[in-house]
Amino acid sequence: MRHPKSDSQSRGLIKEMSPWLLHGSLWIGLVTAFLISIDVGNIKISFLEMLFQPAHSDASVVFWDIRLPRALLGLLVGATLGLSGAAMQGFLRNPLAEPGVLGVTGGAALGAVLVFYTGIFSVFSMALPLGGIFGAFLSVLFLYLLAGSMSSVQTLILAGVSMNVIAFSGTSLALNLSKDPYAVLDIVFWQMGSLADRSFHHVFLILPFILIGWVLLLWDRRALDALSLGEEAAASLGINLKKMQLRMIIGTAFCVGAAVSVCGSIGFVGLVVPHLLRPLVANQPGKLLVVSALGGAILLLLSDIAVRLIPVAVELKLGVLTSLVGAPFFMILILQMRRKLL
Amino acid sequence: MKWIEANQISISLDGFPILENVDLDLEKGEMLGLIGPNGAGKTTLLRILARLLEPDTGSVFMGDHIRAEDFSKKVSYLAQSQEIHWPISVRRLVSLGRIPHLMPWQQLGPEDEEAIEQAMKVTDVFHLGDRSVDHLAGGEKRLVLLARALATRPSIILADEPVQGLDPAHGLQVMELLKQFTASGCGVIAVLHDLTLAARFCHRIMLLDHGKVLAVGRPNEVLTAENLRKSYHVEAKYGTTDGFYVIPWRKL
Amino acid sequence: MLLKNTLMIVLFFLMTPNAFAADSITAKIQTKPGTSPQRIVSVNLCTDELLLRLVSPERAAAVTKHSANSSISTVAEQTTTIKKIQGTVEDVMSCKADLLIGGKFSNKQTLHFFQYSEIPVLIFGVPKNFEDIYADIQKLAKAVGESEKGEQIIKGMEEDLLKIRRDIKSKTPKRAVFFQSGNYVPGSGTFENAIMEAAGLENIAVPLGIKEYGNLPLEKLIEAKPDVMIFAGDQKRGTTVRGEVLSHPAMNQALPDLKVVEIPSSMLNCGSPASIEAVRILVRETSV
Repeated sequence: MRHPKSDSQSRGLIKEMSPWLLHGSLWIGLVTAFLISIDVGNIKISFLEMLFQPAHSDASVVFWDIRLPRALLGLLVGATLGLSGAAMQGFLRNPLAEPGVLGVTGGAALGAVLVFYTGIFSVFSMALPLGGIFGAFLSVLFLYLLAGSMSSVQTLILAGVSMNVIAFSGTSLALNLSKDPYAVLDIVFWQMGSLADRSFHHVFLILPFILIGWVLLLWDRRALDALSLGEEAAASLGINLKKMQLRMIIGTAFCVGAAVSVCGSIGFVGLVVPHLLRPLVANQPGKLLVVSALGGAILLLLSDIAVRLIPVAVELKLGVLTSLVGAPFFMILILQMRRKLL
Repeated sequence: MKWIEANQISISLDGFPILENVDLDLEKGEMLGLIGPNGAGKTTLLRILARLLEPDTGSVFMGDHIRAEDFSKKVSYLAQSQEIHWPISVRRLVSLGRIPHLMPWQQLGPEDEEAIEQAMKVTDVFHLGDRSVDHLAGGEKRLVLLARALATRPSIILADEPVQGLDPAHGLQVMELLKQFTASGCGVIAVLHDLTLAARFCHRIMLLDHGKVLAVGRPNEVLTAENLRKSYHVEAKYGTTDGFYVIPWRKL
Repeated sequence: MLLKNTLMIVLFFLMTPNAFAADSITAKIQTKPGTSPQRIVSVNLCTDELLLRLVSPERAAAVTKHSANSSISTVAEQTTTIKKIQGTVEDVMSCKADLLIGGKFSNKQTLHFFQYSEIPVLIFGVPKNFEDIYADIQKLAKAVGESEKGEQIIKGMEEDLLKIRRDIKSKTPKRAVFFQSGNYVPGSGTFENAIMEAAGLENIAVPLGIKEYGNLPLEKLIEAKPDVMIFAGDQKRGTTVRGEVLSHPAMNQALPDLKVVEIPSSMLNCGSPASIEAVRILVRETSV
């Protein structure tokens, strides 16, 4: 598989970045983005005010109940998207793979929409992440069945397209049949993806699923490296491919499903982040996982900050912003790959 | 005690019989050449021995101290395709051979580094350590993959067409390395198309035709005119200077 | 994803009738002098409501299906003997109408079709305040030949509003916000705003500079410290994750004494005398 290369690699030599430097910079970047995210909002409050004001004052409420959960969600969801993107790319051995492009996000969104539509959410709130997980699970399963783990670019993209079409049709049907126009409005906006005005309830609702998903995806770091040599070689190195595939499917479903159920469809993070960071880990798929999680969290936090700073009369949705940036990126990536394949 | 003892291996794929009642054994310190015309079932047999495929009938017995958990530590499989999906450095690729010896959370230790270094030196790719595998010529790539197999420090190497597409120099280099490997008592089974190399470097040869063992034994016993005519439909010329060799000459 | 989002946005704007304020009312009246229309067809819920307050049911040849739904219509009882239609061109043709009335944002194709026919077509916009409602009533009353009745209705409404205004006890207006789906709040130049002002409430969206409908983030809502939060119909319980604004911990912490008022959406869907009831509800609930 050919890939777009950075400058030093075009001379054939690979210089590996010191892991301390790489991880250190990413962690610093993450903390910085997190702090900025807490500082940015719709009303002007300084940091000191937020931390030292009494419990029921405006500043304290805004900090603890609005900004902190929002930043945490940005971190959790961003890391999930980055991690799952890198994991899918490693497993499918294809740099175009990511949950949004391949329809996993769409499936999760459909699952969540059905939970909203049937009204279960107001009665049993855990139904929401479970619905998202179920939708994501079916999508990933379907994807792996269609494309298999050794697939050409075309098969993979087509599988993703068909999955997205199915998810879109399902959601449209639910909206079409809904008798309540306000519910439709609600769902349409939710789908655009946003972190706004969520609370700690939402953080705790999805936290266990996200953590389980992360553990499952990170489990196979070394196995992803082994897969660089192909399935047979990896099997001969002692990798249990069936178990790995199961962990991939369930892990992706859990963390992406839960994340999307609360925040709507946010795409392209899992595509952009691993692509940008891959040269920094000398193209090793296993090492890319944690790094992509960090990068994804940073990217999403920065996007969420941008969404609050860009002056627009209505609320700019996070998913719309990531799409506006990610879609052209995706197109450029495809063009670059086409040139390589020719 | 033998490294491998395989009895009555049979397998059908998609309804077609690929192998029928194949018996195979590999002695210690031996390189066994697996030859036969295209479609004879050589690759399938190798994959069964590598535990990538389950035979329909028959059993494979590995040398007594190769337990199931240790299989990937003791047996290295070199696939025919030179699949490498990500442009990683040569050194990193060779280090993948140490995976069977590492727990999922473990990092490479001094013993691993030594194995990697040794494997790279023996295959003469040490100087390519920081090169991206994308930027290697065919011959260099084969050597790097062989280094990966050697880095595992296996007892057995199962190689599927290890010299395919290599120029004479690299082809000889690979065959010599494999033979050297057996000097310490380890075993090699290599699927080969090049009968000349097979005759020169293998201790024994097994000739497969249409899924059945046609002949097995020393090169000069197996590569008779009769056998070559029956299986490959070729006529060969023979030589004995500096050892036995055979050169396929003419299609019949 | 981008395409899908764009489509969704476009669909939304096409679907909701209250999203824009109407700027002008287009009308084309060609009644034969001396006679008033006897077979009036209305293809919009709000025009249904206006119509049935001005004429007797026999003169209405058809009204929309929505008007019979008492949860969204205030004239449901009067529609029992009237033919109900969807509002398509075929529907209208089968009624042999001599006047067609409708709204700017629904059944546009039907209205457009008949504008080139002999049948007079009267199109109404969305009222932004009570004066707009009075103007609409006058226009329709004139078209159906019931100008007197129309004036009666208008006078009744004006008197009611004055009476309500007098009944408002407190001197300082309470601060209120009208909260809709998707965190939208009506600001200046909306009918909801007019209702709030008529009830003697101060709409916090106006000083925040929200014209027509705008987004109000939770932080700003808390900063503005409203005393009253108004919901229409069942919108208090949102559908999605975002909708549960009342149960957000920040709301409970920062606005513990918030008064929540629910107004049946039937009173707000259209500008009509029934909307006065909405004002009454607001006054009653907030004068405690």
